[in-house]
Amino acid sequence: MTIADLQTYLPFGDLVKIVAVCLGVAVVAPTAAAFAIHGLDQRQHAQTAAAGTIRIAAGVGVLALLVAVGLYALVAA
Amino acid sequence: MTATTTILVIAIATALVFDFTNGFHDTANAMATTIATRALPPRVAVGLAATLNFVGAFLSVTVAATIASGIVEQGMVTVPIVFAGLVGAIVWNVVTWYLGIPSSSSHALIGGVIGSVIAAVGTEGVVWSGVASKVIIPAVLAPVVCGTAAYVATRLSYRLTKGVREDETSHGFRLGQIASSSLVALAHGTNDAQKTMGVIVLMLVAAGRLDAEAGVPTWVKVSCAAAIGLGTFSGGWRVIKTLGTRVTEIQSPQGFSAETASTATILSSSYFGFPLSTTQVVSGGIMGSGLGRAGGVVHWRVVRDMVVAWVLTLPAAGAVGAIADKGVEAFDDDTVGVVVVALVALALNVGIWLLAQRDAVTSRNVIEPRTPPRPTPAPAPA
Repeated sequence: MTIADLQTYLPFGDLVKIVAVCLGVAVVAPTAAAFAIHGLDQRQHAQTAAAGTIRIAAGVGVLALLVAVGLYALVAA
Repeated sequence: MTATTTILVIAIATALVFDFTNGFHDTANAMATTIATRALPPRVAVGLAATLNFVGAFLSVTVAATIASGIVEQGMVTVPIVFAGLVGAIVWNVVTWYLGIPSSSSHALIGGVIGSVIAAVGTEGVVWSGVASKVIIPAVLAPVVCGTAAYVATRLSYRLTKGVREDETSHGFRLGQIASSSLVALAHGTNDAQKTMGVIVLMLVAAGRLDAEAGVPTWVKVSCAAAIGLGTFSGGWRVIKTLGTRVTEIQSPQGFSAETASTATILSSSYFGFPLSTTQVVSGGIMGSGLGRAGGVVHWRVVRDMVVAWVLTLPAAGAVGAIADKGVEAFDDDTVGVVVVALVALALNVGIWLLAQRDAVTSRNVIEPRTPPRPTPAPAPA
């Protein structure tokens, strides 16, 4: 079977995009969640409470953006 | 009521029963990890999944997911053939539910229809290149892609929260997990309810009751959404137990990673038009998250049983679909054949359900009850 034949069964271009998206989300989502969790931790201490709130907002904001992109993909598909 | 109408009504009812089994079989896809990590109580989790499956069914109105498209020669498909295929899919779904094995409802439906088409018109009725590109290749790729993403996400989740108190880490990841599993439930409703809508539209067109260009009637959308929503709400606790507790012991960072990777895989593949089984994606995600945690253990015997079921889904559902088709053909009158096969299938499924009641898994015993902390012994008096 040649690569051209295989291409009719398996769209490599789309597969590469799917893998790239999945790995991208696998890096961005836990990073954003961890950022927000560190913010939760910081809020326990009076000196760093404001910085903690900013971290939580940033982390949650990124996660909310990912959810919005996911909803767009669902509806657009 | 004419004979054609009777067959059509029974076949549509069978499609809705399949949709119901699809819902209860696949509740685990969205909520198994959420229940296992106690991010949500079991009943609340399936209630949320049911609502989102119902809503998801209305999100897309194109019947892009017409199940037989590109897999069987649609010109050869008749209502009794689709009915027999649905019987094959339902029986396989119920058998795998009884065994607690997460297998793909979509593959069961495709297998059932392929089997009934082969029994009715021969192998020339099947588009084998479509089977390879839409079923076999995605089935191999889905768990690998999602498993890899879940592995990476799990490693990062633990590494980036090192030094943070465990209760805060758990709380944060549980909240994220609720969001990602909700997206999985929504996507499931959109993709899987569409498939049943496609089957019903296919039968209505084949019976001459709907113009091929007419689109999906509102009653079809509402009934499919209700069937998958009710099915999801009924729980499918046996499959939830397997995915949530038997593949690996899931902690909240793993649950978050598995569901996030699953969401990304399902939505991106759906966007690029590459059909993946939600069940296989989520199962791969859970395996990846099990491997991603230091000291995490994946129970490979459970995984082996799942993979065997995935391999068997197409031929097994196909065999039942073929038997059902031959059962209908055995009678001179198609209406009598369809009624008899429907009653036999009903009796079989009720029998399996009764068998399952001997060791019933419910919302109360799907996960081990939380053990209360041991009381600290009082210091001995001086």
